[in-house]
Amino acid sequence: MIEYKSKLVEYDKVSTKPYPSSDELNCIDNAVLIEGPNDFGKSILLHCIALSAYGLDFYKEDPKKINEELKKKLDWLIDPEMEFSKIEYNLIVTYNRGGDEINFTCNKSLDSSEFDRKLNDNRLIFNNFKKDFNLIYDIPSNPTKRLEELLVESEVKLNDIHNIVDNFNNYLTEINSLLDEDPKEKLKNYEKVLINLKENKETAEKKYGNVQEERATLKKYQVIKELDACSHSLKEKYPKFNEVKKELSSLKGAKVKKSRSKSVIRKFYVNSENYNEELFDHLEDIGINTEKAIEKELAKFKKLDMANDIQNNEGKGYYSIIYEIEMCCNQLQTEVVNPEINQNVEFLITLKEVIDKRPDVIDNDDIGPDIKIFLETIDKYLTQHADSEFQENFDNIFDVINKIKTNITDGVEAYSNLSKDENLTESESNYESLSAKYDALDIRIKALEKDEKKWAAELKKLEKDMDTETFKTVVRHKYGDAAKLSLKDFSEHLHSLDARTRSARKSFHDIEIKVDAQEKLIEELQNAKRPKFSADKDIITNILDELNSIIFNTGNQFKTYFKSLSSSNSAVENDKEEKFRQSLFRYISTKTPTINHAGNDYEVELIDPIKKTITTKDGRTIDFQSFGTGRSQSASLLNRINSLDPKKKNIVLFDEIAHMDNKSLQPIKDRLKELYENGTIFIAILVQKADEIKVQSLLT
Amino acid sequence: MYKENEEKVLRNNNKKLKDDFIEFLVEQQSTDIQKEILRNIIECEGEDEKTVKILIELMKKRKK
Repeated sequence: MIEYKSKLVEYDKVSTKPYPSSDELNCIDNAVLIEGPNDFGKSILLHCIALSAYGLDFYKEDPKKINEELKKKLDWLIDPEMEFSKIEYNLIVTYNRGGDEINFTCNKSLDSSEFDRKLNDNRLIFNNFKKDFNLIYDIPSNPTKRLEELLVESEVKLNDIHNIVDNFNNYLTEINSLLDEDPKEKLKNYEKVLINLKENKETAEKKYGNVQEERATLKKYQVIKELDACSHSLKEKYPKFNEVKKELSSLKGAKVKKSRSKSVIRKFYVNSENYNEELFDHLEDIGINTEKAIEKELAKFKKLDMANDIQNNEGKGYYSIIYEIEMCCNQLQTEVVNPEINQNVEFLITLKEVIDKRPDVIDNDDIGPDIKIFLETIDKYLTQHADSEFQENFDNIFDVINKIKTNITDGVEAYSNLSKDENLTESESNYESLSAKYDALDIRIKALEKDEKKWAAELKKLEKDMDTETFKTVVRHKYGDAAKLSLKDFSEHLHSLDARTRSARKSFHDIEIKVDAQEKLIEELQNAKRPKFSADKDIITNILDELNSIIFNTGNQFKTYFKSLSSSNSAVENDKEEKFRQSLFRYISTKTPTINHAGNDYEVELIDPIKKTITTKDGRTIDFQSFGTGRSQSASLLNRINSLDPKKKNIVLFDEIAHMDNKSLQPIKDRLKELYENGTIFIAILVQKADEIKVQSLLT
Repeated sequence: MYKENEEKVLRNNNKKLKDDFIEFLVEQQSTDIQKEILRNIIECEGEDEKTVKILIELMKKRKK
């Protein structure tokens, strides 16, 4: 039941004229056909119901629900700026069908644009109303127009669905991004890193252990090596020393006088001892002491009476031996050293020394491996051209030979000065020179003895824990290359080992810290809570992939197809678009399965909005233009009614349903009654212009 | 005529009138799995978590 009273007040700047609603409309059924002349108030009734049922709000959401012209009239009725006409009304709608009892009221006063709406005595807002109610307020038009509208509606639906899919895609993407932070996934990666770190730690520990062991072992071996060298040197020097001592005692009667030359001669012997020793070491280092020519000269040297040679022969014997050795070395150098390769070798050795001084670079995680490969390549080159290493030794030999030559000259000159000293007799002069030689040897021997004592004490300590001979064998076997080095090189090698040990220890500790930190991180992750759907990350990735395709379809692809359709473009881009069109036309066709044309009903096969034709199942093709307005209105109205949402209470208001005779109107009335009875329709009002007033219930 | 129309609509689509367009759009998807995914997303609109669970089950069944 609809109870209604309204008053429209119009003002023309001279007088105010009220238009109250007609009594015939004060109480009507929920589904009615209203006929009457103009000014009867039938349209005002529809306007009031539409305004009460949030017509303007429905229009904002979907303009298709409210006819454009009717919407303008609703705006006009409630415009607060409009001083020429105002409306007030009271509306009560009661409903009792389909198990629902509803009481809907709406009141509006003349001077207010506000509506007082209540549903079962509860105040209403649009968002609640639209959940259960729907409104259609229209002026029926040509059914073919409706068919074209279906295309527009379909596009709107496509947008709605696209938004649904897009929103879901955003939700799933958010979930997926959280899964990237999944502690269990992170844990897998962190554990892989930990395994690598532990392997590195093991390697670093091993490396540190090895270098530490080598350093400790060779430090011990240094004691043996130094002691051997001292003993060997002393063994050579004692006979010489005794010989000089003996000779000196034979001249014991000579007068001991101070001489300026004596200190020079003493220096000569000290130098001579040192330089000769140095020369022999260098010759031995590169193994040329056994070269025949050199061996011969060394034999001569052992027999040489140096004091006599310097004093009486101007050092010619000594000089000759040194000169011959120099010549031999020159010859050997030419044979074994290629100057160009030697230049490379010198450069590479210098480079290697620079790198060796930077163990932090060698052990660096990033560039360390590359540097190691580079050093290996250098070593390979140096091994290939090992002979070139002799160059350095040759240079050392020539250096010491030059020093010996200078020393001989100085010695000869000192002796000469000594003999010219008029204050000295020959025996005194000889005594002085021997005394100088004695002193030099004495100093050297004492120094060696001191060293020998020191190293012997060291060795004694070591022997408490090890057997020296076994130790020597082990070292020569394990560190053969180092063991063979000269004392000087061996000492340098030990320095290098110090640096390498420090570097290896630092690398090991650094990795240890990293391992600890990683283990703590893993422990934290093991206790961390996992996000939703963590177990199905791969599946979610797959779903997102599929969603991308769907979104492309519902977004760009199908929207483009609709755009092409709305511009009546008959050309299609490809088979997919053609297939889409045919499916869409079939979908539209299902919305109007039967159509009345020229008084006959036809089953619709396909509606083609592009060609603007309808193909019927019995093979007819009907042009849109040929539809009569009365029949087409009937079909259009039925179409709209059949499309109502059965889940909602629908308010259906159709104005100006002109051109319809009873035959066309009857199915609509019947259908509205049925939908009212089953609860789909809340209000249904059809308004038709007529000379006589008639309000016909559709429910009787 | 309304009865005939209504019956034909229901018979042709075996779905509510409201769902016609969804069915049309679902059929336009390239693969069966895309069709199923789209159908489920629309049917469970507003229940995103439930939709995810359904789709995961769907993908698992498909793998089997």
